[in-house]
Amino acid sequence: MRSPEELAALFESHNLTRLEYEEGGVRLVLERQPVNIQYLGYPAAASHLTAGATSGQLLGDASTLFSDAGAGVDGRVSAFGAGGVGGADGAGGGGTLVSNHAAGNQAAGSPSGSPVGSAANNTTFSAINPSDILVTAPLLGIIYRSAEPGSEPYATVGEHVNAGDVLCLIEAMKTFNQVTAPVGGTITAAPAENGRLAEYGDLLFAIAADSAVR
Amino acid sequence: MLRRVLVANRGEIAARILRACREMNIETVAICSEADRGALFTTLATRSVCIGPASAAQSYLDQQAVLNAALLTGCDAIHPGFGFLSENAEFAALTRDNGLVFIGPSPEVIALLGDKDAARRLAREQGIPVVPGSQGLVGDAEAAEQVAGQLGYPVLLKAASGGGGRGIRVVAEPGELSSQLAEARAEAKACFGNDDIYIEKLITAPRHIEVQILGDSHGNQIHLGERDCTLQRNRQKVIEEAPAAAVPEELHQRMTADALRAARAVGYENAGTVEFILTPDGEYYFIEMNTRIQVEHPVTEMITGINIVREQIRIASALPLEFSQADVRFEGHAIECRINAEDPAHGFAPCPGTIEHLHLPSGFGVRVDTVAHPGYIISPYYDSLLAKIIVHGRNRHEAVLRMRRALEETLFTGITTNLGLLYMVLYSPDFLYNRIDTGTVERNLDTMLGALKEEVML
Repeated sequence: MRSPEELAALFESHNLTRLEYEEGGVRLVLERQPVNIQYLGYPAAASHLTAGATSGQLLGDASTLFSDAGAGVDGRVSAFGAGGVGGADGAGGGGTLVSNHAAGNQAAGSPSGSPVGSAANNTTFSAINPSDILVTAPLLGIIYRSAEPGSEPYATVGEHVNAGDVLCLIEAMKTFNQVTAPVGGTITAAPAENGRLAEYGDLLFAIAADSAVR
Repeated sequence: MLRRVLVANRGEIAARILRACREMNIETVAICSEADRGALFTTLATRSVCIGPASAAQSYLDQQAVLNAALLTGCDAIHPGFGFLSENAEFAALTRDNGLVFIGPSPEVIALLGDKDAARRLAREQGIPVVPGSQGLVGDAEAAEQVAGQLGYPVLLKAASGGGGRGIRVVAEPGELSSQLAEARAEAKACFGNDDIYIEKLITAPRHIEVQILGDSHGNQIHLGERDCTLQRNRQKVIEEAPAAAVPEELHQRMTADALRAARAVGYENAGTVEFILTPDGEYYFIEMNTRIQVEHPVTEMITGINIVREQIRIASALPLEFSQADVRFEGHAIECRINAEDPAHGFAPCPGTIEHLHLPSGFGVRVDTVAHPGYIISPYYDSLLAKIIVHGRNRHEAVLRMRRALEETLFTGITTNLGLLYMVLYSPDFLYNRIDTGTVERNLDTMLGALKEEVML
């Protein structure tokens, strides 16, 4: 006999729209109802108020939100050139981490108060092992994956790093802040995109710690 | 006109500013902490960026983080709202030094009026009556005792860097002064970074009357009338009204004239509020001037039809005011009730929690400023203001009836609020006959709470 939790997990992982389960005089039906939302001006607010019941992207690529997109930040041509060294690694493939920030919160030990529908960073990357250490942005700023334009990135997927090694830089107000590895291990994901604006708490890297029990 | 504004605040005031900008086709950036990620106010902005963890000190109060967000998102101005960095002269200067417009007065004016003792001196120089008190800061306990002795007890010890009802202590008798002074200094140092204290005579049974000021960068200053903010608890306003029914025309003329005198003396730009104490004998005294938009600004908007936040943005865009003092008309009467997530039955302890269901009032003459919604998480990191319910009527009586009706329609489940208490106040004879002072709520608290329990409202 399967538990409701197992069924719910099955429902989610296989992205079903309807599941009926009957055994031992108990019948359980899980059904995904499409939500019809009419909104005029605030798609993000509409999704937010329906507690994330909608599917799809909530906030689009930030670079398209402003009237001077392309000339502004975040998608702007950085000193390193658009799509320069060390773009978002591990994109595509594998599964999707449900919420970038929820995972970041848990890793950082802060209250998991992220409201439903807050997945502002819909980066898709390879499935991360739950025991991986997540490295999140300690401040708002521009990500730089290497010390100088054209030089080798500090860290890439698959590479081994030691505790304290610089993984990337975040520039804020002309000062460059180093983001360092909290533990020694192997980089399993690097969604940190060179030249992009990282918000506080955005996922930059995931590390499979050397000491992790598999 | 400003092109892109960063709103350095959260909750309902952030929503207020974001909405005003949107109506003016101004792009906006909302900042938020981790606790506010995905909050409704962030979705009202063109874009939002998370700048720090939940703690206000590391997010909304972090000057570098806020400025950084404005620069990185290409904003040309920052609106600080109220609280947080709104009256921080250092931040206003930092903003200006980085080529951005701070939507408010200049850093110099903020600093001057933020020094409450210096502001009193300014008022005195302008011939504006100030609350009897020390001629400047007090030195040691001995000097303080001398001043207090001359004034007559009880007296108030006030932090020069305080304001907004904070950093105030009552000294009822001479014997207490020395220890209270020491504590007041320690508290002021901890809260405001500065332990300067001045003394004021404690006026008994006062009313709190404040005048809204607007000044532009072309040398024009006007007033938008007064507000009565007498109903307070723990020195925080609970219910506000405009105009002040207790202020007859002649007094209104004198008080608004004095408020303008203070504003002109400093060449005040943008929105500000001059606060007075009104005694039962009809004497008024200047207390302080606040260099920000205030929580209760909606009651002024309801009686004047003027969008104060819009005017703030226009003024910051270096545009002149479109209307003169003669154009300002006052129609009817407005009342605002502040709904806080707190428990009146347990010392008004803040009650973080999640709203299950809510129903907000609407209809003729009702305005609600809030970002509350079903599922809204009230976190413990910020203040407990949940919603402002504002009504307008042709006169005070109609406004009172309308507010009662609006409160009756208001429903919050899953959390505890002061809604029931507000309702009791709206039905109390003291309120109806406007026989109130700043101590009314606290004096009648037990009676009102008792009545609420009977009505099974708590």
